[in-house]
Amino acid sequence: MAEKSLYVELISPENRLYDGEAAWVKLPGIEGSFAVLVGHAPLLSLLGPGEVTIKTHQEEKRFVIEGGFVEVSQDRLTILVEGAFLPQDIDKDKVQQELRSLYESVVSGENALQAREKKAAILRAQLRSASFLVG
Amino acid sequence: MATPREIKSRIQSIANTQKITRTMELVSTAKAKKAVDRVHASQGFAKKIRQLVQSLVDIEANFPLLRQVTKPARAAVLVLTANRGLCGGFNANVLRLAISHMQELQQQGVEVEIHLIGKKGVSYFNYRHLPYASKDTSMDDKPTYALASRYADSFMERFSRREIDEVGIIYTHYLSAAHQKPIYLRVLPIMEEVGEKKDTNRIYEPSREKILEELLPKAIRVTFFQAMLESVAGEHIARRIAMKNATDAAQEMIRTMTLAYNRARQAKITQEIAEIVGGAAAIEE
Repeated sequence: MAEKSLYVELISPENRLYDGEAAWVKLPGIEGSFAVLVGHAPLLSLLGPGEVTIKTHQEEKRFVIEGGFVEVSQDRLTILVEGAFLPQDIDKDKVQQELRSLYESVVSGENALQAREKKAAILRAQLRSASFLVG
Repeated sequence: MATPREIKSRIQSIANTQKITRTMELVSTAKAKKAVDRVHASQGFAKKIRQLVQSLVDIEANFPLLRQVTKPARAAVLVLTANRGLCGGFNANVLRLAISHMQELQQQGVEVEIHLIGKKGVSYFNYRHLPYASKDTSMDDKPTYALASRYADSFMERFSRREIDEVGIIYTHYLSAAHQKPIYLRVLPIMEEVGEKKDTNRIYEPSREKILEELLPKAIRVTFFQAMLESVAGEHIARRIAMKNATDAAQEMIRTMTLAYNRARQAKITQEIAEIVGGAAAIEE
């Protein structure tokens, strides 16, 4: 008997990053990480910066995203992102450098601080994925 | 009548031009294919995000981006042209629509500011001494999402601050490989009709309002991005057709001129024989 599986699409405006079946998908929800399995209730969620893990029956695929949306409907997952990297493409030193210079820069005002925090969260997520890959 | 030598050099010159136009045709064919692929690649994202927006716009939210305008006072129009010519009526058609749309708005008492992308648009506006608010000639064969976002973000912010009441794009819309036409697309105020809701018991994380607030700017950005991609695809398709016509026209010219050349050569030979025969007859006498 064939196993039931999810149908997952990971798309950005510039290309289609993933399109196929999966056993489960782990997503960086805005209010915490969660996973979607077969039979999940319909959902529309915001995604924060972090890592999307798509587990197929053979392998695990990981993408680092800056944020986006996910729609779950009848075992179909559509993940919309504005851009994504593969963990192995991240240059750890460069990201670390960026993070450091980000915190050394002086900003004032509520909005600027929030923007900086957002940027830092993205960089930290990239760093985490890259470290996990090596370690 | 031209001498055979003159005709021959003219044929050679046309053949050289034909070589260039044929090469350009081939290059454009390849570029057009890539550009069309890019248009298709972005459609998945654009369609989905529009669908999501439509399933949410019914909520009574007071977002600056959802502001409805009854009588606009100031409009911003982004005009997308190519950086290069030799593509038939591509740029002229876009610019004609831009001018007529601008005049139409001005007649309604709307102040219009024009933003130009592409060298051809810039030089046309300069030539006619028409004012424009900004120009960008960096968009080449591969428009980036970052560029589209920059335009979209600045327009959205100014729309939210009520500096402008309408935002639109004039570009060459890609309908199919055989059909593109320049259109005016109004981006803001948003006029999304309410779509069907397929999952009434859908879970929203964190909330419908919050999601819509995040979705809207992305939907606008991708609209700009798509317009750019479609414009580039249209440019290459137009250039391919223009260059194909030029190649065919050169072929036809070479054909008629080869006929003229042969006729002139024949006439010259006949004349020479006549002269020799005439000369020989004169000696015999």
